[in-house]
Amino acid sequence: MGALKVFAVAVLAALLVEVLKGSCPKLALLLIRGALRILREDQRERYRDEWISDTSEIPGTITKIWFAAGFFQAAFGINSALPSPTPSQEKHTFAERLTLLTLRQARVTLAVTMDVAYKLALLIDGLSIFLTSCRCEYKLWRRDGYPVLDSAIQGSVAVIKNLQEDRRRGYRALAPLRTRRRAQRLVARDPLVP
Amino acid sequence: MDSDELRITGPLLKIVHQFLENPEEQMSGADLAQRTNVASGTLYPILRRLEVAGWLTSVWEDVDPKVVGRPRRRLYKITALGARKARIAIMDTFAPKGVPAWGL
Repeated sequence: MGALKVFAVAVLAALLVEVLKGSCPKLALLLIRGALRILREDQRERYRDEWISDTSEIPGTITKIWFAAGFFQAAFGINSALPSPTPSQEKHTFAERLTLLTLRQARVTLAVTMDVAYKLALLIDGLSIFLTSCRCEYKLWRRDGYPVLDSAIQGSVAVIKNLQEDRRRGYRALAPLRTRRRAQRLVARDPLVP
Repeated sequence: MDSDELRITGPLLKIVHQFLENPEEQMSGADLAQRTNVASGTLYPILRRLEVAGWLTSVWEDVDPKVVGRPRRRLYKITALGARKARIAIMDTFAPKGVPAWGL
């Protein structure tokens, strides 16, 4: 019985290794893509090529994946190693941070209380919000009501819901709100907003 | 970032030491990771910091990606300033501190 167990474990381990070997390039690429999202946009092209070629040079399946997983930490480090961004880049960095935050949340509500011009883009598992004008207050709340972001920038009236469980529905709910009263009404009605 | 502001850490010293051993050699991030055992999460920010500080320069590998079947590698090389500063940093780190106390 004991020998049978050992045999079964060995077979399963061999299968797992084969599966990992098969999906290794895809997984590594997925990790690289994820890490690139954290990087400042002006650095992405460079590091995409560099990281893909470097990962392909690393021998071993698990080592390759481990190497690629480290790019997440690297992306944060590179961002902080770079000189301070210009104002336009800073705006984008904000959007990137917001993307990261929304990626981590199951459900996010963004309430903006003045006029804002923004464009939206759905990413793999979240929502990225690019605020393109200034002077607006925004608040971002987590599902449990804990404020994760609270600052003053410039923008427009909008209440944005990112319903991760239903991306299409969530995307439709992203229509900008033209009036402050309507925004306030929605904010007041939203149980997620403390 | 001025080179004087560069924070000298263990992994950074490992990396610059690798460059000092072969100052003319161009190395990719993968080469350095394998030679120094510095994790990728630490390696690339250090390379970037060294580049910003002027200790390293980097260029794209002169190959056609279609021919080699992969993106070009980014190759790093130490600069004269980097070599000088790196030697000083290594000496400062590993030099014995204080005055030898001669016993009676």
